[in-house]
Amino acid sequence: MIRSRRIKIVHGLLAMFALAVIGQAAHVQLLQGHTWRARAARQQLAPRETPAPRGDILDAAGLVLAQSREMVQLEIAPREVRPQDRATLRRALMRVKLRPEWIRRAFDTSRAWLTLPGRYLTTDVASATRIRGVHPSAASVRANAMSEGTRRLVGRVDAQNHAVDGIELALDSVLRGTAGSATLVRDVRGRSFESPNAPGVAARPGNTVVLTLNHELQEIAEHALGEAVEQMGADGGDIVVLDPHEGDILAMASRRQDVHSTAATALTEPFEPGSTLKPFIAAGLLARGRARESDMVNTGDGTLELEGRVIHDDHLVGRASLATVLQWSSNIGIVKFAQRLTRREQFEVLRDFGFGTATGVPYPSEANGVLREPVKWSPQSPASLAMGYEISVTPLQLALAYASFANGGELLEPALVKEIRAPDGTSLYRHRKRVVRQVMTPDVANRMRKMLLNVVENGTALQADLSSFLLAGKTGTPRRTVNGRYAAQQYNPNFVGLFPGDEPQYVIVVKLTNPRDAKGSFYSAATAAPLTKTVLQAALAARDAALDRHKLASSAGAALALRPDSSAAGELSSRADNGLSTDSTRAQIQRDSVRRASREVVSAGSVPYIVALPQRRLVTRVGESARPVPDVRGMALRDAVRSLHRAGFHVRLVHGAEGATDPAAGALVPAGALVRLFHDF
Amino acid sequence: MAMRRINVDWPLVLIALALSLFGIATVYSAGQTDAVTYVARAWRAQIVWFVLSLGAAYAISRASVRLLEWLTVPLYWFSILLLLIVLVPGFGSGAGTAASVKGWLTIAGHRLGQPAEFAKLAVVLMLALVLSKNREAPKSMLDLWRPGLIVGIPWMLIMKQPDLGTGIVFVGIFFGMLFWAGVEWRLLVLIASPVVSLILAFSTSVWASWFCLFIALLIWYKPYVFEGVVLATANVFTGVFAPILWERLAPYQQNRLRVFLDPSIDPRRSGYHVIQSQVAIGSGGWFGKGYLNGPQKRLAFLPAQHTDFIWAVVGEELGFIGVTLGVMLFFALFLRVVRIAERANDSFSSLIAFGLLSSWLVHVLENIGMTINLMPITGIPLPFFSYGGSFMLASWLAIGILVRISSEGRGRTGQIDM
Repeated sequence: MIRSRRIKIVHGLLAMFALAVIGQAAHVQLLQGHTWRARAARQQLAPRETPAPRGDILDAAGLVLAQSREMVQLEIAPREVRPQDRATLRRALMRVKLRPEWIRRAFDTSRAWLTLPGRYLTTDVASATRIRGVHPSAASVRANAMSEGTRRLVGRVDAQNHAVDGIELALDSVLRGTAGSATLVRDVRGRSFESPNAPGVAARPGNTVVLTLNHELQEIAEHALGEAVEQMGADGGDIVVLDPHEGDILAMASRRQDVHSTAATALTEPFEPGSTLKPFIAAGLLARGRARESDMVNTGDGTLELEGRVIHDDHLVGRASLATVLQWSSNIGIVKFAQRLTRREQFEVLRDFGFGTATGVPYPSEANGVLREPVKWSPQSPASLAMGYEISVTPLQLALAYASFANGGELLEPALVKEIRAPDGTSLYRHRKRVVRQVMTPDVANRMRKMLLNVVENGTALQADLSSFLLAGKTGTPRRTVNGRYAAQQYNPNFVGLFPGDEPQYVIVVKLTNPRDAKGSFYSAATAAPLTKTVLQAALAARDAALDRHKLASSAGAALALRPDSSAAGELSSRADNGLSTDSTRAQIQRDSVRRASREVVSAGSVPYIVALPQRRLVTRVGESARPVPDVRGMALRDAVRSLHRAGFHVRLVHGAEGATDPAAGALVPAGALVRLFHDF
Repeated sequence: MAMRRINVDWPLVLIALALSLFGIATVYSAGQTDAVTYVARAWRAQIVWFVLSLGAAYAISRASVRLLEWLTVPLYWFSILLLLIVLVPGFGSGAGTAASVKGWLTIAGHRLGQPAEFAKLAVVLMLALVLSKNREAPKSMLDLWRPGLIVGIPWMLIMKQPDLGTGIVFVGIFFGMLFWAGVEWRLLVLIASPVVSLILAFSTSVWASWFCLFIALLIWYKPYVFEGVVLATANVFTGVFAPILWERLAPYQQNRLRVFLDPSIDPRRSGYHVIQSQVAIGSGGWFGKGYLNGPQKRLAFLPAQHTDFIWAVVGEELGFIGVTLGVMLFFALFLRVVRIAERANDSFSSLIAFGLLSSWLVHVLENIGMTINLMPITGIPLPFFSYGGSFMLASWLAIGILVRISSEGRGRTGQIDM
């Protein structure tokens, strides 16, 4: 029968079709399965880096100096805003206190697009972002509410949260955290969802960095420096306040008329310090037993011809002891004393105080300063060096060197970072005093401090005298070099103080560039010293300026004991409590200055003839010669150091995980910068 | 009054029920996307239609085959009328991925249904009626003018919509029923030859060899001279003028054919459907991503996931196992229908059964085939699965008719009125 044959055909065809479909399904699903799965993953999954929140930067007291916040920026397309949404939008914009003209612009339909100024908290603009025509975009804002100077010191980050300069750049590896990864699921329109299945790696937020800076003292220093620079018409100035016992940088203010200068010129711009260097020669003599405070030299009539040049003294001291030489800052005296040291010894003295070497403070572009090897010296160099020329130092180096007089002879490594805290609060790093070397015995240090005390009490730095507290210190009024030449009639008066003088809590370095006081004097005694006093008085008046009040009280007593003639004890202690800002204090200070002005001989242009110091360009701009830090993990220590040196970096060994560097391997760092190499000692 | 009971073909009904429930479950899953669309509510409408369809199937199973025979001619003309109405601007509208196909009967903005679905049923009935009238199977093309006209009129109207997919179904019905009516395969090949020529026209040498084969077949079969000349002319015509016809195809149709040959030529547009469908099915592997969990579907990469590409949802979520299960269910359904056709009481019933089988077979083969790149893409739904009321209703009406034919068929006597 025809039908039965056809049924067989039909069955056969049906079976064939079924097999064809199942076969093709097997081909697609089983054989090609992995190809299609890979393709599915490619179009459905979007791996994304989740940025890590940047760590905070705090001051020593825990005040926030820099903090990242996730905010939104609003952009408005006025024509897209529907009429029924206008009232809501207007209310939302008024709530964030947008200026009326901007609100008007937001509704101006003649504009196609408007970017509103400012960044807003997501919650504040939640009602606005839901409206059609309002286009929010995420913007991370690094908020820091501090003064301009602090802000510049802390540095900036760009819109992508990458460090640009300052501490942000120096400590970027600590602050930036580790970006996490998340696999987002992406739908056909490109909308992304967090994938519930694909495991992501959470971003590790950056660590919190607690600086040693004291915010209050920092503001005092900045404010005082700013006013002084204005009043004295100076080109700039730096103030560094250091804790001499720990090496903590408590304040670091810099001011330049040149707006393009770096934020921390106290680290980056070395200068010839002049007379403020004299105590180190004295300390070298005492430490080597080549002289005692009472040893005498004859300074004669105030002029000395030596190696073809004439050295002058501003104050005639005749036959004077070492203490007197320092007190009146006698050039002839210190040159004569310096002759008791060999060239090598003189070099070593200065080298041991840390000059010519970067201090290693974690800040970009720190300068080494210049201290030349004796073989490069000219016959006049020993005399020049004794007077603080032919050497350049940064204010920070100067502060650290003076700190050794205050702490029993230890040269310390400066600290800008007090503590590094992990996001969970555990302390990753806490600064502990790090002694670079014992420069002198505690006895020599103590004797030096007493001589410096005498300088302020009776010598050249009377303008820094605080009446109720002892202040040890030294003035310097060197000529200013501009592009390697001495500029006519321009000086870098500077003052280094130890406060209080008997038991120092601060080392303060004040340096001004080309200032003139009201009477036209450029001397340190008339410029840098009074500025020091202003800063210290304000610090005493401040609530918390990193001063130990108990110790201060005993210092006030010591001042009284040393100067029984000045005032009654009761009056002094009350002054201390009032922060020494009463009218009576000011009157007293003015009286003192009038009384002592007669002793100060102002003779402009009497600075000795000196050899110009070849100046290297010390400030390197990032980018010009920035180079990546080589990866030295797994190398022997010697090879690692060599490799870093070859790449053009200075190396400092720090206790830590073997082989890691800071900045991390691969980071772009200017040539000559300091790289910390962690080593498990 | 005691209701006249019929002997229900339970295997058929159970298979159809299984397919329908599988289908509704898949429609539900198709709505479970991450960005919720109207498809999320489709399963409820589908259930409503399913229940209505069951009622309609029950009702039609109460009608005897003779009643159907009597209704055939009016139904046929009515369906032609509906197809004409759809073509009147304002009464036809498109939907979904086939938005350019104006296949929906629309009155005052309300879509009532797709007349083409009922036209299939009507054509099957009409063709069965005409073919069963012949004592002998048609031997020449001249004998086939009536069947050709019966299928040709609605086919032309549907191609005018233009709905290529449904058009192919009509061709399938036509050839399937002629085959079942006893037409010799050589005649069928000869009838189909112009279409084959059309397809092979892309290459002159391939077409030339086909043409030689065709001449040989012509000589072997010995049709009337007139027919032979017409066929040969038609072959030459289609073979030569195919490129010109090709130019006349709408661009999207051209693309669909092109993309069938190589889906990667246009991955963003025409190839997109095939590729996304294959990504979905292919990534399903052995056991699939789990019911409701297919990411291709969830993330809306899969187009028309509740209608034409619903099979891709099955493939992605239930894997090769689910695909095989579905195909086996369809296979079982077809075997059952063949059995009904074989055992039908008369040739009218038998032809109806086989016509319905042909229609479903084309649907299933084309729909599943296109999701796994076995067939070119045409907008054609999968019976019992794809979301759509008219099609669900038409499919279950067919089941109802088959139940009736089965109960009246041979081997069932003595079991009536159980």
